[in-house]
Amino acid sequence: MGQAKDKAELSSLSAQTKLMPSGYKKLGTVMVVGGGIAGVQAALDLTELGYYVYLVEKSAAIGGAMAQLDKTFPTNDCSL
Amino acid sequence: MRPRYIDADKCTACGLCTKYCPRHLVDQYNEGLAVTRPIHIDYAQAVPATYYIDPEACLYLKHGTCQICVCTCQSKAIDFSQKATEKELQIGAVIMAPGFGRVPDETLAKYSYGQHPDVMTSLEFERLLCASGPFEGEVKCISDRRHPKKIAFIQCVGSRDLGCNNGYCSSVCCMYAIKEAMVAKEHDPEVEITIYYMDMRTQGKGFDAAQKKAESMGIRFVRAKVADVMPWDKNLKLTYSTMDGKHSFEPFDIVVLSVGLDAPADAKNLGEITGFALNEYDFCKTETFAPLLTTRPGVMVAGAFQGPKDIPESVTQSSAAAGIAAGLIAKDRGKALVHKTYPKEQETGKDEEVRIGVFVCHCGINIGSVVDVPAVEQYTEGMEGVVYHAQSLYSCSQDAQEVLKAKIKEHNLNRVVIAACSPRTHEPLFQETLKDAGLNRCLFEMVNIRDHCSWVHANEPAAATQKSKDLVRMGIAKARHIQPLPEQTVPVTNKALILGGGVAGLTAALTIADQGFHSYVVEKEEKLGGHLQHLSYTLQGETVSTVLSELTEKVKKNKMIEVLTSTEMTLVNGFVGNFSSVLTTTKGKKATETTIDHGVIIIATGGREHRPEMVLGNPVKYSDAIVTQRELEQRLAGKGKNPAPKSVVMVQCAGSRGDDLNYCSKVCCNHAVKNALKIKSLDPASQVVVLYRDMRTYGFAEDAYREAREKGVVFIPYTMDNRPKFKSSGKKTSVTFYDPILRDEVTMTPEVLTLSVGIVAEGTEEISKLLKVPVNEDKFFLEAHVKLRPVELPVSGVYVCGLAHSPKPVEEIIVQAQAAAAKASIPLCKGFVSVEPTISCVDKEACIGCGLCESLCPYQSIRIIKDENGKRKAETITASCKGCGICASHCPVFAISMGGYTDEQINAQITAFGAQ
Repeated sequence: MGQAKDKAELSSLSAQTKLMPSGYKKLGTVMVVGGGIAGVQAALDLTELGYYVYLVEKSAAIGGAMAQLDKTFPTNDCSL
Repeated sequence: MRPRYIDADKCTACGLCTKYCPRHLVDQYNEGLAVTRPIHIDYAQAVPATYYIDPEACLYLKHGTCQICVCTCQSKAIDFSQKATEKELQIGAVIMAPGFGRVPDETLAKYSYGQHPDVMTSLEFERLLCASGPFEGEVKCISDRRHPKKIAFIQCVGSRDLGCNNGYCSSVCCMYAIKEAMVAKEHDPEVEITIYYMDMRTQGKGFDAAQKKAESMGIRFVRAKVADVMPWDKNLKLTYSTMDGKHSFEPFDIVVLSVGLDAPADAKNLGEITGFALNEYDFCKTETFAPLLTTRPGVMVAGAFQGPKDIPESVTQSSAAAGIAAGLIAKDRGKALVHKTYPKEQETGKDEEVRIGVFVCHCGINIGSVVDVPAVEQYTEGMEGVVYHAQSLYSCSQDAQEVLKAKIKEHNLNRVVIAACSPRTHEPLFQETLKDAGLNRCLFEMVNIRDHCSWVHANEPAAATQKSKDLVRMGIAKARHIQPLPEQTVPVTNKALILGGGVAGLTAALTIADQGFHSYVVEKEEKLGGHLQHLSYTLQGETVSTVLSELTEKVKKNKMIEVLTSTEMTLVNGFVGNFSSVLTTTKGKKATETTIDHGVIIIATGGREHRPEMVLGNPVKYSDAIVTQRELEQRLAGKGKNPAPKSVVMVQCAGSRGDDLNYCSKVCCNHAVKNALKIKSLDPASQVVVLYRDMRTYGFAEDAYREAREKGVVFIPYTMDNRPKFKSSGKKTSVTFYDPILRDEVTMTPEVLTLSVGIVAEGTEEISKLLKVPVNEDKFFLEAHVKLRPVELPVSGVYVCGLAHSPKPVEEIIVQAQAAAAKASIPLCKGFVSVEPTISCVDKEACIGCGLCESLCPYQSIRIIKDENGKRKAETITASCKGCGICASHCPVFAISMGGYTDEQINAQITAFGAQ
């Protein structure tokens, strides 16, 4: 997870977050809502594909539910 | 953006503020099983590694008092003046990945959850098992801290339960229950564990094997419905009823509720703000053939919000969603990117003075509780070349990286040794820090004193400490000889080769075309479409043929896609970014060969229906009366006069799960339910009996399973000890099975006996040989990492999707194909691949051209060429070399050396091992 912040910007979600209609100004950006394993992976792939990402997470840290897990099934690798 | 009340740039995550904060707060990260303070960080490795203040609990923010933290913070990071800010962003696409929510506590109340502390949710139990959890990984009862002797798991809590409006199956609970049971058993081999379940749904790749392992460890699986859990003296009384109608009860010390995944609590709100629809369970509404598109264009969904799912599937969906989003705004690719710049690399000449810095990590208590870390650190004092040494609590934390950078500058270090955990997971992180500090990332040596010392020698702390010292001494000895290695890049041919023209291959080709890249689709049959051609309708009622013809039309019309039917790949040369393949097209008796250049390969070769001749010990002759589910589907969709048979017996796991094939094929239960419902809709009077081992209608397919039961389809379980018997006489076949409710044998003579057969891999071994990519014991391709790299293969530039990876339903195949295409597009977009510096290098002078290395290389990364004098010499193909070292270890004249593992370095390490 260390590289997640790479080119992605981390912020917290406010309830008023509005999504822009078409005709955006800043070209080549994507917003990912949720900083769990799904959101982080999407953000990483998007940066690799050449896009700027806003990764929005409502809690104070990314990682989501997976960061709470001790091990992962079935290999019992450390979840963090 | 809500304020943290802490300046992220100043916070060093030292933790002093938490220590002095006077107020207690329930620790949500530990599921309420521990306490923290209003000013805290959730866990040591949290990203960003900045503390934050809970405004609802902070004495200053709530009551205007206290402010103790302000004076304790050495770096003056606390800033109560921060205010919530609003930001308006202009974006091209959105991916919704808000995850899942919690099953409400009321649903858990009937199991005495909330009334007795030893009844806990699986997530709470997970925290109990974790070394960073409330008891530091020791499993204890919450009530009186005693070690439990008996633990029960109750499955399907908050799932498959209309009582709480969660009719679906959460798809992950069977797996995590097995995992937690196995980990608990490892902690204490004496503990007795029972899992109470309805169906064990371990349908994923390799998951059945894990369940078998759990059984062999002595974990008990009982098929039963749990009625309730009541406090009983010091214990808990669990009452359950089994299939035969018997009620029993049993005492336990801990009862774990395997809670399902609910929709996120704010799903409705998100749907309203963003403008997309939800399904009846408040998950995101999507369709079978467009699994990641929400109802609003430009907004994609990924992860558990799309439907309950596990980590690898979430990761796959995320890559796929990223690929779709990227395809939508491909014309703006790269326009907003900010490139990270590193300081100029400092020159490290061979003769320069070696200045080593040694950092020894506590890893919280992971290393520190066994190994005497201060002693190991002190041990390095005065060693040759060591100019600085230190300890850190978590050397992987963000603040520790800042410290590392500062120390490199301060002491002018030109070699860094970190004694911590595994380089497999953390070497890249530290190497990145070295680059940030202006050092070549190869001037780094990692010593694994966690896996090799504190973990394996947990019960011998003195010996573990001694071993840590030995390993650190050896690491330092090697570090004296390490040299900077160059960072190289290799250009990429920006075209893709896709093997297979089924739904996986076609979807992948379209996804790559959306990014603006050309691809070749190679199909060995005359027609595109693969197995989807044999399916007529989906469980959700879509007509397959229309979808398929639309898909093939789209591919044929797309100028970026070249389709080659009746064609197979016969030879492949090259490496990531620079493949060259020979394709053989057979038209009639004429075979023509074409050679194409491409940068990546996607394997989407599919599988085929397994047709076992022996099912559950009964010899089988396929006919009109004994068919597979696929054949039954064709009959039901056909225009015949009586498509629906008057009576059908379906036998699940025919030839699967240890009967012939060892694995579960994931789709057969859904297929049976789909066909059963079709029969009932054609002729409600028709009799359908399904004999099963575990009905694996996971996710929202559970609704269809329930509907089938409501419509009168009879589901009867069998076990491998008591298998159904078939008896054929003439055209009729009778089936005899044990009915656990009647508690007697029943014989039926159905019009059609339908076998739910599995899926086998097809042609994977040939491709495995051509591309040198591994297959597993079931002949499916083995991905690079089952959890985190689910569509990549170990050979760079080669990706897999669809049935060639493992059996799975069509919506999962589509997602996987989109994910593989997204991953394959990365090198195509970049236009180059970066080469790992740790690769083999041939000393052309010493090489005798024997060719041993070429024959041994598992990645086809070293070849024999003729040099300018016409002499045979070995040459490394840098782009595909994995640095495994096989060539170097076999070279008879020591002409090959490995960057970062030279003979000089390894000898120094071995010599240091002998020295004290």
